[in-house]
Amino acid sequence: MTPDDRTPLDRLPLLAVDLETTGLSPTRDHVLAVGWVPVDGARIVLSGGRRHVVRHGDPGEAVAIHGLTHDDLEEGRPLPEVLGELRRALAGRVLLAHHAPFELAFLDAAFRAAGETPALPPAVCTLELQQRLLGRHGEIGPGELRLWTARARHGLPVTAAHDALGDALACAELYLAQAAELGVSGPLSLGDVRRREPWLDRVRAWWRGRR
Amino acid sequence: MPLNVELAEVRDFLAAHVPFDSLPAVVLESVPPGLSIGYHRRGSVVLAEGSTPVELLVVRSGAVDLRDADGELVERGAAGTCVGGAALATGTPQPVTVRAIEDTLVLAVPAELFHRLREQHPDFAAFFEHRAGMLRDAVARQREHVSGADRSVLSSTVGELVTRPPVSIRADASVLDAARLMSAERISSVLVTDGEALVGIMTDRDLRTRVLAVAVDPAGPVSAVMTPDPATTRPDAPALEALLELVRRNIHHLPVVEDDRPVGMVTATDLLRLQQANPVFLVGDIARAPDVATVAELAARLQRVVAGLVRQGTSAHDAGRVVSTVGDAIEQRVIALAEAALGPPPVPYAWLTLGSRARFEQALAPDQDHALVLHDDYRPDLHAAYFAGLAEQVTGGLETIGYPRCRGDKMATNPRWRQPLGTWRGLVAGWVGTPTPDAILEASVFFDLRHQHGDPALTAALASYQRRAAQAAPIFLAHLAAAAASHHTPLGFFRGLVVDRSGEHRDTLDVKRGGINTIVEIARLHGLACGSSATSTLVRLEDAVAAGRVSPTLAADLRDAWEFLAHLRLRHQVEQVREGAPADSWVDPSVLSDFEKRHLKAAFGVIRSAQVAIAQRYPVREMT
Repeated sequence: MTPDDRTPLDRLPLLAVDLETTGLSPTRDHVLAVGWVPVDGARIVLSGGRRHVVRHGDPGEAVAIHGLTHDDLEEGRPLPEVLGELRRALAGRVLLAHHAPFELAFLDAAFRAAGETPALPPAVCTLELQQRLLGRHGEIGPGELRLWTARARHGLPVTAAHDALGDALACAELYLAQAAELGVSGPLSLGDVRRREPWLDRVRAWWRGRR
Repeated sequence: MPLNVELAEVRDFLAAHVPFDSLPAVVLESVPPGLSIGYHRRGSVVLAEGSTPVELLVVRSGAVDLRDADGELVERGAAGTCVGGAALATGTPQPVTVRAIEDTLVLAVPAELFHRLREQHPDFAAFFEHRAGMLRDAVARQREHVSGADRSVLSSTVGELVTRPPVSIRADASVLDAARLMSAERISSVLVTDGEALVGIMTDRDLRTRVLAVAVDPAGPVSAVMTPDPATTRPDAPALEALLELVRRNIHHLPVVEDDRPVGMVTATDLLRLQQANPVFLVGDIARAPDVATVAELAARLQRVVAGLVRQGTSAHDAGRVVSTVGDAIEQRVIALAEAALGPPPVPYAWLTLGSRARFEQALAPDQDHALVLHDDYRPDLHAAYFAGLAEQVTGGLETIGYPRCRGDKMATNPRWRQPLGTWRGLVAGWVGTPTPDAILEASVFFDLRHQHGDPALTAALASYQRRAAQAAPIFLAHLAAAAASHHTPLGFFRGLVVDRSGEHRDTLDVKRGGINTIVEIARLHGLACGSSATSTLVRLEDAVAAGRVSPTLAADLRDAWEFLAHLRLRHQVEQVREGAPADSWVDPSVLSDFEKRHLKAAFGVIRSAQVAIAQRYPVREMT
């Protein structure tokens, strides 16, 4: 069962998700790899960490960025299979990502392309939380919202390798730090940290649903 | 299935920290998926004292303080610090409170996985057990670590010993010509050649036994009295092999031959010179030195001798004895030279060595600590000038040789440290009866004394008076105890810095003041309290155990801690000397290995437990 807004953060189940894609457009670009790791309340559970490379014929130039080889991609698993696993991992959890709209848009497009109804869960966005925390101290400088800059601000370790699981874990750790900072003034629940969709997105979603 | 990249990073992190670094690679690979990650804000409690840990926590980033029930800092740790492990291993409540002093990310190892790793991997398990004698292995490994690194004596070749081209004579030359040649060249043997080929050797011994003793005509040919076809060696032969050849054949000369041509000669003396790095020879040479300048030249070799000993894996205890023995030889020689110049003393006296050398624990950065005990027949108006002159000449000589004057002026040149036996007794009685801080300081130098020169009866009389006076003065002992217990012993290391109880960080570790000296003081206290006549720290501890004052376990731990610290200092000093820097006791923590840091922490822990034991026995708090 999907957690509701009253679920306290120390009992909130989340799944930190990171996608590697061929580009920024959910309609034109493709998913190359998916990484995720569950967060149970204030604990990241490494046993649930996964990284799946999606089988791909012609990945294009983004391959170099993500350090994936053509062999990796040829040995990858078909996207519908990976999506199926992700859906199971997400069951009963809130989606957690750094810049969640990106992950949500790609997953929405991917599920649709696979002929499935997306029905994506509520999301928590660490970029948005970082914006909220930094906004308390005045103006936010350029680049301050990036995942690794945000982590550095919380004294989290800088790691060298970034793959889909690495970034999902990095996001999960950042979330623990943010939740701890936000929780200083009192216990929080999902409703306090959940990403609010801008009304335009909501209209778009409604429109897509009608088609 | 190979690990995902990020989990490989968790694995690599663990692999870089004890005790996980002891796990086999395949086991280490299986650990990360069993872990979880938690986060603690600065100031929050990570693990409360008295709670029952259900997992081992490893600091991944940030830092934590461990404080006991009294709020005393016990440890400060950064990334890699394990907390809760000891309590989890023994199933006992957490003994100290762990608090994040920075925002801290922790890796949590669940109890089940923790216990499985402990059961299957003894090194991993041992890390969480504070067993007695844990320093013992470290001391052995510390020495192993350096042995075999250098074999200067053993690695020399014969070729390196050849200093001059060989002197040779034709086989048809007369014995007389050969003897004249040897005499002119100041050599004890000559090679006999036919063309370029070596056909024999004639030595001093041959001249004695085959010519003079049997009245052979010296006009006859060398070939008649030489040793034909002598044993030879090659330039590339190991020096040790040549040495063994000499010993085996009971000869003193070995021609060096290359491509059938003689290229040199090695003698027993050459091979012994290799042993220059041998302290026995050094002491012998010093005792025969004709003047202070020669003593200084010889003394300069001491550092090389010690470097050699350290490389051969000698213990700090043994190295300390060697340095002290050579120091004794130097001091004795300088005193003898001064006496020879000044004439015999007008009344008997004893020259005392004080401090670290008196304990046989001298290191490579010594200064001078000595005193004179004069016979009670001493008359200042008649004799003061002689002993002042003697003290000045010896002290000046030692300074020339490389022993700086004592900064605290605890030297025979100071009239206060040059007294008749009766006056010394009064001084000792004063220190013991009215233990002011200054008295404690002076006494602590003076209670480590050893006879060096002169009338041993004077030294013995003073030492036994001291011993009885100290043992019978509980207040004096209590002050010694207070001083020994009050030294700040470091807790350990935090991000390459030394941390002490106040939480202060320092960028250098003073091995002497921060550790060795405290053990010395602890041993002195216990030694004096049980009436031990020993000066050496380790013997004092033994005597204290025999008297039932110190538990054998604590004494053994203190001995290991002393050896570990002293060896660390010794290696540091040898390294400094090699780099041409003056030797000191200040170690930069950043050059210490994790192994050394871990065992230093254990050594500090031993010292602190000994300090606690002292504080419990003596009413220390009221006195400081």
